[in-house]
Amino acid sequence: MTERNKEAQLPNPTPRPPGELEQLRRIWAPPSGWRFLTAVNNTQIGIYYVGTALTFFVFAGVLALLMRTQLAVPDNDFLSQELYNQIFTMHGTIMMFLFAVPVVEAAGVLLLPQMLAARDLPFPRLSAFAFWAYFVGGSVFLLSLFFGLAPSGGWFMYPPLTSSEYSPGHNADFWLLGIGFIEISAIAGAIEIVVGVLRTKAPGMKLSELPIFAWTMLVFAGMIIFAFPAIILATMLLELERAFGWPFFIADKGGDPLLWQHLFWFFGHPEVYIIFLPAAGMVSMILPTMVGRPLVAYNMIVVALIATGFFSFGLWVHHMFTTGLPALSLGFFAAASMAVSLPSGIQVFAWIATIASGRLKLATPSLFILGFLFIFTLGGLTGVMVAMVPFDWQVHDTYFVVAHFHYVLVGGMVFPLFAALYYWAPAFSSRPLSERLGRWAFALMFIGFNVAFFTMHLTGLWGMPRRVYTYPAELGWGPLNLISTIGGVVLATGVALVLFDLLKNFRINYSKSAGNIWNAGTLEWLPNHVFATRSIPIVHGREPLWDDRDLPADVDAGRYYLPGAPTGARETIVTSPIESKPQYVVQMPGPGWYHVFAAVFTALCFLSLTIKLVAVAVIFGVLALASVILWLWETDPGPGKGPVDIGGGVKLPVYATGSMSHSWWAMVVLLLVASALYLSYLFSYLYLWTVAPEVWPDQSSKALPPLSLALFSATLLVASSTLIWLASRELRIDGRSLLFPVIVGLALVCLIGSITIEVLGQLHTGLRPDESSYAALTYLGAGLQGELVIALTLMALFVLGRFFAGLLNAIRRVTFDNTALLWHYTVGQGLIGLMLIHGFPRMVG
Amino acid sequence: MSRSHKSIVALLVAIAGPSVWFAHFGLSYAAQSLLCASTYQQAGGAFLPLFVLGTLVACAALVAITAMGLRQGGSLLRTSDQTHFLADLTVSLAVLSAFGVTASLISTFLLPPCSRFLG
Repeated sequence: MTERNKEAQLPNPTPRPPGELEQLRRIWAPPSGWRFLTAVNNTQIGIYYVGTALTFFVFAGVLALLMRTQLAVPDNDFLSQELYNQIFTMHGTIMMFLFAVPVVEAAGVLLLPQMLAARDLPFPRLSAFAFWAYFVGGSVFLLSLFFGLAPSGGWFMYPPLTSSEYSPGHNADFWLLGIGFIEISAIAGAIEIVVGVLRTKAPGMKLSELPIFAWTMLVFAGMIIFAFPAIILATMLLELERAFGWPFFIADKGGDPLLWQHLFWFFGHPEVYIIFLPAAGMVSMILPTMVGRPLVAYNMIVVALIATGFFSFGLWVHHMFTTGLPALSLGFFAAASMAVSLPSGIQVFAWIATIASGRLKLATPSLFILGFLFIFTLGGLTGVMVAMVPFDWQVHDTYFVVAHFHYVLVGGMVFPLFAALYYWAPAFSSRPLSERLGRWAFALMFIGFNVAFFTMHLTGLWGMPRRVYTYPAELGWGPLNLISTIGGVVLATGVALVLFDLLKNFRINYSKSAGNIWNAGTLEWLPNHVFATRSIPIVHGREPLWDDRDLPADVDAGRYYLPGAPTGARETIVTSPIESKPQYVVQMPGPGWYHVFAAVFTALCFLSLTIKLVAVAVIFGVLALASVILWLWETDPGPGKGPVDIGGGVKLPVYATGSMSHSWWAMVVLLLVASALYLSYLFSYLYLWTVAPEVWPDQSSKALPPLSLALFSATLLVASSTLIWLASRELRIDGRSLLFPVIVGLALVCLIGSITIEVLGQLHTGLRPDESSYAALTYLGAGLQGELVIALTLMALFVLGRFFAGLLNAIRRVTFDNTALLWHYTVGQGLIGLMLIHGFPRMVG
Repeated sequence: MSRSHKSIVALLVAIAGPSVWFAHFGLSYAAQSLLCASTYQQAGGAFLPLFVLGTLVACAALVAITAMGLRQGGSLLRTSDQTHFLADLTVSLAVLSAFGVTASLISTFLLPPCSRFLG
C-alpha cells in the first residue's frame, strides 16, 4: 500500500486545521505555581502518587534498618522495647498500606491511560481525591511516630492486645482510623481503574488484546473491591469496641478475638496477591520487549490472573492454623493454598518460555526481573511449605515466616517495581535512568536481600520468634542476626543508589520524553503530550507498535480519532467493554479545588475522631460533605454539545445513560463494595453466634421486638423502592413533572421511616449495644443500614436540587439513575437485615 | 437485552467457574462451622452427606460451564474472535476451579468434621 493510500484510509486527513493542536494544549495545560494542587490529569497525579509512595517506602526502609541495628547483637539496648514495638508496627503498616497498594494503584493511574490510548481515566477528580486522601492521611499517620502516638500492636493489630484494656491511649486509634481512611482512598482508585480499563480502551482494542498490565489492574481492582470492605468492617468493630464498649472481641460478653483475625486475613491474604498481581503484570509487559518476542501463552496468563484473584480469597485461614480451628477447616484452606500455586506456576512458566523464545537483552529492567524470578520462586516454595499445617505449626511466628513473606513481597513486588522504574522512566522523563547505576543497584539489592533474608530462614528454624526486641547471647542467634543486618545495609545501599539515579536523571517532561528506547510494542510508547496522544488510534493486535511502524507518526499527526477537542473541553472516547466499539465521548472535568478540599477535610475529620474531638470532627465532616456536593454539582454536563465528529465519519454523542454510561458502571462497582461490606457483617454475625449462642435471645425473650414492627419496616422499604421506580418512570415521561419531586420525597420518608422504626423497636426492648456481642451486632446492622440511608438522603436532596435548577430531566438523568441504583440496593440490604435480625434468633432460639 | 447488558453477561459467564468454586468453598466452610457450633455439635455428622451433595452440584455446574464454553468456542466461525477468547477463559477457569473443588474432598474423607487438633 502506498503512503498516500494508507493515509486516506485513516479516519482523519492531514494537515490538521490550524489552531487544533493549540486548543488541545490550552485545554489540557497543567495548572502552574501553587495551583498544582488542583491538578487532575493522570500523568501529573500518577507521578505525585508514585513519588509519595516511594517516600513512604524509604521511610519504612529506614525503620527496618533501625530494627536490624537493634537485633545485630544480643542484649542490645539501642531501642527500647516500646519504641521497637512501634517501629515494627509502623514498618509493616507503612509498607503494606502506604507503599505496596498505593504504589501499584499509582502505576495504574500513571500508565493505564497511556496503555489504553485514553486521554485520561474517566473520573480524573476521583483519582486526584484518592491521591490527596492518601497523601494527607498517610502523612498524619507517619507523623504519629514522632509524637509517641504510633500504634505498637503489630501491622495486623490483633485484639485483645489492641483493645482499650491492653492498649489505652490513642495509638491504636491512629492505626484504626488512619488505615480505614486510606482504604477508602484505595477503593476510590479501584473504582476508577475498573471503569477505566473496561470503558476507555482504544477503539478496536478487544479484551483479547488488552495489555496484560491492564488485565492485572482489573483483577487487582476487583480484589480490592471484595477484600478491603472486610478490613473496613474490622476497623469499625474494633474502634466501636474501643470507643463505646461494643463487645465484638470481648469473650466475656460473647465476642471473640478470632473474629478480628478472620476479617483481617480475609483482607490480608488477598492483599498479598493484590500487591503481587500488578507487579506480575509489569513483568509480563517488560519481558516481551526485552526479549523482542510476544508474551508466550497470553490467554493462559489471563486465566492465571483471574484464577489467582479468586483462589486468593480461600486462603485466609492459613494465617490462623495455630488458633485451634477444627481440623477439617484447616484442611479446606490447605487445599485452597495448594490450588493457588497452579495459576502462579502458569505465570512463572509462561515468563520462562517467553525468555526462551528470544534473546533477553540484559538491561537493568531484565536484571531486576531475573532477580524477581529467583527470589519470588523461592518465596513460593516456602509458601507451599507453610501451607502444610504441621510444618506451619513448627515455624509459626518465627523468623522463618518473616523470611518467607519478605521473599514473596520483596521478590514478588519490589523487584518488579524497580524493573518498572527503569523500564518506564523514559516514557515520562527527558532522559532515561542510568544503566550503570541501575546495574550496581540491582547487584547490591539482590545480594543484600538474599544475605539478609535467606539467613532468616535459619534463624527461624533455630527458634527465634518474630517481634522480640532483643535476645540473650546464650541462644546463639547473634551471628545469624549480624549477617542479616549486614545484608540489610547492603540492600539499603542498593535502594539508595536507585534514589540517587532518580534524583540525578529523572526529569519530567510531558511532551519531549526520552521515548521508546527499548523498542517496545505497546501504546504507552506512542508520542505523548499533556493531553496524552494527539489522536486516539484504532488498535489491532497486542503489540500495535511492532505491527505498524508508522503508527506513532500517524497518531502524532492527528490522523486517528479525536485529534482535537470538539466539545471545547477535556474528553476521551468511551468504548464497549468487550469489542471496544466507540460509544460516546465523555466530557471530563479539569483542575479544581473541591476534590482537594474534600480529601483534606475528610482526613481532618478522621484525625479529630482519632483524638476524640467529636464536635470538631462533625464540623470537618460537614465541610467535607459540602466540598463533595460542590464537586459533584459540576459533573453530569448533559448532552448539549453533541453529537461530535471524531473522524472517519464517526459521530458520537457526548452523553449516555443507563448501562452504557460509564458512571452507571462506577455505581455498580460501588454497590459491589457495599455488598462486600455487608457480607462481612453477615459473616461476623453468624460467626459470633457459633462462638457464643448463649447470648442470643430465645423466641420468648423480651429482647426481641415484635415481629409486626419488622414487617411494617419491611413494607416501608418495599414501598420506598416502588416509589423510586415510579419516580424514574415519571421522569422519563415528563422530565419537568412536579410529581417527580413529590414521589422522591415520599420514597425518602418511607426509607427514613423504616430505619427509624427498626432502631426505636430495638431501643424499646431495653437492648443496649454494650451488653453483648448479639446486642452490638444488632445495632451495627442498623448502623450499616443507617449509613446508606443518610447517603441516600443527601443524594435525594442533591437530585431534587438539580431538578429544581433545571439540570435534571428526561434525558439528562444520570444523577437520578445512579441514586436509584443505590436506593434499590439499600432496600434489598435492608430486607436481608430485617430477616437476619428478626428471623435468625427466632429460628435458632 | 441491550449490548451493554450482553457484555456484562458474557463477562460473568467467563468467571462462572471460579464463582462456583468460591460458592462451594464458602458454603462448605460455613456449613461445617454452623453444624459444628456448640449447640448443634450432634449435627456434625450431617456434614459429610451435605458436603458430598454440594460437591456433586458444584461439579455438575462446572461440567455445564465447560460444555457451554466448548460450544461457544466451537461456534467460532460464526462469531467474533472475542467469543473464542471468552470461551477459552470460561473453559480453562472451569477446569482450574474443578481442581480446587475436588482438592477439598480429600481432607473431608480423612478428617472428622468437628474435632480440633488443639485444645
